[in-house]
Amino acid sequence: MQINSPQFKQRATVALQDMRLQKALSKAKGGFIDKRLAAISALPEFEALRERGKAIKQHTLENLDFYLERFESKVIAQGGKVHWASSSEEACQLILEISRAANAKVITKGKSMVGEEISLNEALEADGFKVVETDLGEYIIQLAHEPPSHIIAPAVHKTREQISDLFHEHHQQYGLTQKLDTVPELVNEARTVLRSQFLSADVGITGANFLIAETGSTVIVTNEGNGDLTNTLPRVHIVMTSIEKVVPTLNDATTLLRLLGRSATGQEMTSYTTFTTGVRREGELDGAQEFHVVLLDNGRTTMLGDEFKDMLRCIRCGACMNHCPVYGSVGGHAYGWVYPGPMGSVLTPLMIGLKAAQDLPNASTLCGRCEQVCPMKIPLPTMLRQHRINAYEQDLMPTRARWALKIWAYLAKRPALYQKLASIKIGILGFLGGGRGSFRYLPFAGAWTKNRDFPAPQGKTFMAQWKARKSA
Amino acid sequence: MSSREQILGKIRKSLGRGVLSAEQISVLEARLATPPLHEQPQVNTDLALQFTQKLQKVGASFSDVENESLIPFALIALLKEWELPLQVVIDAHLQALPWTDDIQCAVRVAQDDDKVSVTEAFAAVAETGTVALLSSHSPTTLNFLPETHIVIVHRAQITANLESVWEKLRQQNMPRTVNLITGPSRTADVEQTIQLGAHGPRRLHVILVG
Repeated sequence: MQINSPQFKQRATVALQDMRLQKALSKAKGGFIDKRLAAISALPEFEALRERGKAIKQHTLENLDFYLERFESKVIAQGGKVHWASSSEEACQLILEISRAANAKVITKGKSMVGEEISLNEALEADGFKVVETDLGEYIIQLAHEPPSHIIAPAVHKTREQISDLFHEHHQQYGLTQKLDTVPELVNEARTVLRSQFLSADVGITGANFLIAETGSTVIVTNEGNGDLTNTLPRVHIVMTSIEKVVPTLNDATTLLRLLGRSATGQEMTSYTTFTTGVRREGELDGAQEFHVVLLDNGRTTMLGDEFKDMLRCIRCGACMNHCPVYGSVGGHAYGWVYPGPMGSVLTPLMIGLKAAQDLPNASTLCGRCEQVCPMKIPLPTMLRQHRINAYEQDLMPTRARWALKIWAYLAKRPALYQKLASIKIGILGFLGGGRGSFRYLPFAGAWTKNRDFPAPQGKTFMAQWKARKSA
Repeated sequence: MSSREQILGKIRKSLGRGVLSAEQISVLEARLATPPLHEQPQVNTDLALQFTQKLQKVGASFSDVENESLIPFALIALLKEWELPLQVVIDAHLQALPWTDDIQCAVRVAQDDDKVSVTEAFAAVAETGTVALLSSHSPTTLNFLPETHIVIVHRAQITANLESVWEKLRQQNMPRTVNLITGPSRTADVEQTIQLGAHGPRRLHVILVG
C-alpha cells in the first residue's frame, strides 16, 4: 500500500475540514465507547482476564520459537502447509505461487490487516487475478479504491450516502438501477452481489486472529459470515497471518477471545468464531482441500528484542483508536498507512521506518486513554515517547524543533530563570488574551492556532500563585 | 538460509538465548498436555436458562421439544409460522428421525438457493449463548448459505463455559472446522447500524431437546 505517512500534517488538516468525514467520525465514536463500557461493566472478571491475557502473551513471546514450530507440525499433521515469509514481498510471492498453482481466476478475501500490510491485493491484481473483498466494510473501500481507516471497521469514514453512490456506480453491471437509501437495502444488495463471487471463487484468503499451537488451528472472529464462506467454498484456503498471533492452547485463546470481542465491539462473542484445522477430511462433503498458512515476520522478530516488544501483545481490537482524541478528530486516513491510531503510531514507524513516519508518534497528546482501555495493557504512550526519543537521537527532528527543545532543556535545568521568564511570558499572554479567554492566532504558534484556539493564561504562573498564597 | 531458519534464529537472538534446553521444553510440553484452566466468568447454575437468555440477547430464537421424535413436527410448525416452504436440508445424522411426507428433507451440502438448514450441535455454551458445530458431523456450508439455520441442541449438551467444549473435543481428532455460532449473521459496516443477515443466515433458531 502506498505510504502517505510523511504527509500526516497536511492530511490531518484536510481531514479536520472534511465535513462528511467529521459527520461519520462523530457517529461512530460514541457507539464504540458505550458498547465497550457496557460489556466490561457486566463482567466483574474483566480486570483479572486482562492480567491473564497479558501473562499468556508474555509467556508465548518468551517461547515463540517453540510454539511456532509446534503449530507448524500440527498443521502439517492435518494435511496443511506452513510457509514462512521474512518480508512483505516474500509473503506476496508465496501467495501468488499458490494461487497460480491452483489455476485460480477469482480470489475471495476475508478481512486481513496483514494482507493490507503486505499490499496483497495490489500484488494479486498485478498478476491478473480478480480479487474480491467480502467483508462489507472492506468491499466498500475496495469499490472506492481507498485503504481501510479503522482496523475493525474499515469503512467507518464513509457515510450512507457515499456508500449508496458507490453501489449505484459499480452495481449497474449487476442490474442495479436506482439509488438505495436504507441500511437494509444496502446490506441486501451487497449480500446478493457477493454471494455469486463466493460461489465462483477458486481460492479464499483469510487472516487469523489467533493461531493455536496445541491443535494447529487458525482462528477467525467475524460477524458477517463472509470469512466462513471464504474459507469453506473455494478449493484452496490460504491464511495470511503473522508470527505473534500464536498462543499455546485452546484455553489460552478462549481467555483472549473474552477480551477481544468486548474491547472491539462490546460483544461477549462475535456471531462467528471459527477454528480451522488442516484440510477437508475423508468422507466430508465440503471444505477446502488445500490449506496453506503464511507466517509473516516483517520486523516483528526485531521488535521482540527491543523496547517495542510489548506491542507484540496487541490483539488488534481497535479500542485504542476508538478512545483516542486525535484519531477521533482526524480519522484513520490521515495516518497515511495501514494501521491508524495509537497502535498504528507505534507500529508504522517500525514497519516503514521512523523517518517516513516521524509525525505519527507526535500525533498524540499522551493523555493515556489508549493504555487505560488496552485489553493487553500495552504501554502505548511510553512507546510513543520512545519513538520521539529515537527521532531526536537519530537527528530526524526539524532544526527549529531541536533548537526549541534545547533551549527548553537549558531553562528547565535552571528553575529560577525558568520561573522568571515564564512569569513574564504568561503575564504578556494573559494581558493580550484578557477578555476573550483564548487566542485565534499566535505568532510562532501558527501550526497550533491554525486548527484550534490557544487557551489564554490567567496572567500568573502556578509558582507565582503558590508563593503568594504561602506568604499570605 | 531459508526464511524459516532465519525467523526462528532471529527470535532466539532477540530473546537473547539459543535453542531451548530439554528441561525447558519438557515444562512447555507439560503445559500443552494439560492446558491451564484460566479465570472463567460466573454462569447461572441453571445452564439452560442462561443459554436461552443469551440466545435471545444475540438475536436468536429457541423452542423446546420433549424428545427427538418430536423434532419433525416442531420443525413443520416453525416453517408454517415463518411462512416458509416445507423443504429443508438436514445433516445425515437427522435422517433417522420419524419424518413424514409433509416435509421434504434433502441430505447434502447447502446450495445457494436453500432456504432452511437443520444441523445438530456438538455442544452449547451457557456463558455466551453459543452453539458449537463440527465439520466432522455436518457440512459447514449448512451453517452459512441458507437464510434460516436451525440447530438441534440436547439439554445435556449445554456446558457452562467454552473450556468444557474444548475438553470434550480433546477426546477426538480436531475436525477441519469448528464453528462457534452466537446469533445470526450481522454487520455494522454501514454507519455503525446493526443489520442482520450480512452474508450468512438472517435467522438462527435453536430447538432444545429434553
